[in-house]
Amino acid sequence: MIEVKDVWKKYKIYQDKPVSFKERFLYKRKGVFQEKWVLQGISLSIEKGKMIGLIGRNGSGKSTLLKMMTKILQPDKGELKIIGRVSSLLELGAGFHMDFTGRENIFMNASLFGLSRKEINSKLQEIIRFAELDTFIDNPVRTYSSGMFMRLAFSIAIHVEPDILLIDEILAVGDNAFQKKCISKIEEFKEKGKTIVFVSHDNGIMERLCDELYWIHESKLVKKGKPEEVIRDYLDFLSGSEEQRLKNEVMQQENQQTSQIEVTEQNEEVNKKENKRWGNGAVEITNIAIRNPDNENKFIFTREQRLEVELTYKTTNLKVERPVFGVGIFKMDGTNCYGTNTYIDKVELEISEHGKVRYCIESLNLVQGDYYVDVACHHEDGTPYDYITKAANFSVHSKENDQGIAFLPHKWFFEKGGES
Amino acid sequence: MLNVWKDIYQYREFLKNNVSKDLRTRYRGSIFGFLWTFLNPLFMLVVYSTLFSIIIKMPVDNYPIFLFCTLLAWNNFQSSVQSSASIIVNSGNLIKKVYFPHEILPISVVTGGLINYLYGLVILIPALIIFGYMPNLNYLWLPVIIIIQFIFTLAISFIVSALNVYFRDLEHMLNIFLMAFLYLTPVLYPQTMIPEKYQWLFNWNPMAILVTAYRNVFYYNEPPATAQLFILGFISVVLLLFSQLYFKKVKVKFNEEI
Repeated sequence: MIEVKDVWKKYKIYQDKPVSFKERFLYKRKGVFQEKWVLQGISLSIEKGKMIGLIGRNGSGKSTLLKMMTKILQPDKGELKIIGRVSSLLELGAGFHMDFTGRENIFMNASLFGLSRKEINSKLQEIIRFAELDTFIDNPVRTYSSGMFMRLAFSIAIHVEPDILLIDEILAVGDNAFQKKCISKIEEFKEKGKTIVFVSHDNGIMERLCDELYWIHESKLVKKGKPEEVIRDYLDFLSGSEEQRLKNEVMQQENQQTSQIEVTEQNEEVNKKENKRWGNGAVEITNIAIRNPDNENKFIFTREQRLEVELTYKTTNLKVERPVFGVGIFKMDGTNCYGTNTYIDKVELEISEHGKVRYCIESLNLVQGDYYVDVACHHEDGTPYDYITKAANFSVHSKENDQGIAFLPHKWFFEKGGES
Repeated sequence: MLNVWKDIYQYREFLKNNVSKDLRTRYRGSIFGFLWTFLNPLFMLVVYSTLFSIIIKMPVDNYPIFLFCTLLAWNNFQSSVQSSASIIVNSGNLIKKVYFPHEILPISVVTGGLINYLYGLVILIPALIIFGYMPNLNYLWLPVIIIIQFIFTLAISFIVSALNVYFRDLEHMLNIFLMAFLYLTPVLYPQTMIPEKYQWLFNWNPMAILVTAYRNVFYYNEPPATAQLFILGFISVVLLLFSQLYFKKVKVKFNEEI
């Protein structure tokens, strides 16, 4: 059982710390430091047998809270009550001695969790088996690969029979097969009625495993409750702040562009060299905008929202032969998700001196991820007038964790019995 | 306070492993390895025997043996205090990462020193026999003397190790202080050489009491000054309790200070 009551914690961040006699007593200097509250009035109570998760951005105070639960750190104000043996998967392999064999390190490390020799002996075989080390167990740890090292450390940490298990980002341990083993081990712990505190950035796993989630933002507890609700709010919040960041980025880029107007010609050459843009320029795309249903410039979309790509063009030659406008959507790794043009879609096209082309996806059903857009105007035969690759970026956020490129509408059916 | 000792007892296996790790890794990479534990006192004995039987003549019979039976105990005290000064700061890696009762660290330093001393006896006692000082019934006092020295050293180590976290100069000041302390303790000379008017100073020196007790047993074949020894034992226990309370009070901030 874990009981955290109104816990406050501050760090002193020293710019210059006096540690010697001369500085401390002769100059009576205390050093230049700033105080930073990393946890402010956090309260939570976790019943025995519950698994809870902590979410929040980097630096929000999650790890500090975990460290307090392990008793490594003490709160400045408030109180923590922890009943039972705590094992943490925070700092795996602390206290390992590189020259000692795996077996010796098991004894060393397990004793660091407060186990007696007898208890360690009874666990030894299981630890070695789970770590998949076999004959390597009697080699010095310095000869291990980093994967073997982490597996051994992880294996010890979960075999010390803790009542409370603290886990921080375990998915960084080992390969896929080992990760699966870890997760099933965690599920086994849950079934045995152990208390687990879990920190991860993998929302899917959090939602699947945890009974309750706590969202910590800037050292304060913002929300607690059912995993799906907390994750939904957290994702909403994340897309909000990500949106802001991207907007700022674009604004900066635009500022740079305006300041570089005088060197446009050179710029174009650079562009051509980098293959970002090519074509003979008979039609020039002057602006690209990605819009949401409310006609705002947007970079982040949720599933099934409307997405609009608007191209502004100009041409000096009204008699451009058979122009075709096209838009392609790519994953960041270059996978083409979907591409089409006015010719493929058999759309009649009229071109004027200035104009806009709007390409509209009524219901965006790409899976979660980051995408970029290529836009082009070219001749029916493919001769490019203006082709811009990576013209704009957008992201899709989604609560679902489905994989691939796009959502394919589907249903599941189950039947009982039948022929075998 | 009892809780701390209970916690330490819970972590006894770690203490044991930590001590054996220190002993095993001390001479890591050297050709003689663990043998150095014995070679060190042996060479010390050879050097002193040559020096004092050929160059410096002391008015004491078999001076090398006279010196060796106290110097070994002194070295145990000195090296324990010196290494415990830096033990907390040097173990930052562990302290920042895992929870364990930090008291284990100075305790394992002093325990390691004690075990090294016991290995030293493996050289000392045969040397005594060679020089004609036979083991006798007064050896039964040895465990008492050793335990009192252990408690006294541990008390000092608690204070020194905790204090050094906040005041790093201590580590370097200790070198000078311990050197002065060595000459203020009748390790290299018999207590009878001290002028009468300074004798009181030595009556109040805990190490003088211990060192004399060792010499009484090994060299003079006499029982130690019992009353003095037991008073020292009592004071050491009280000192240990206080130093442990101090250690407990400041250890919560170790993590942030190192």
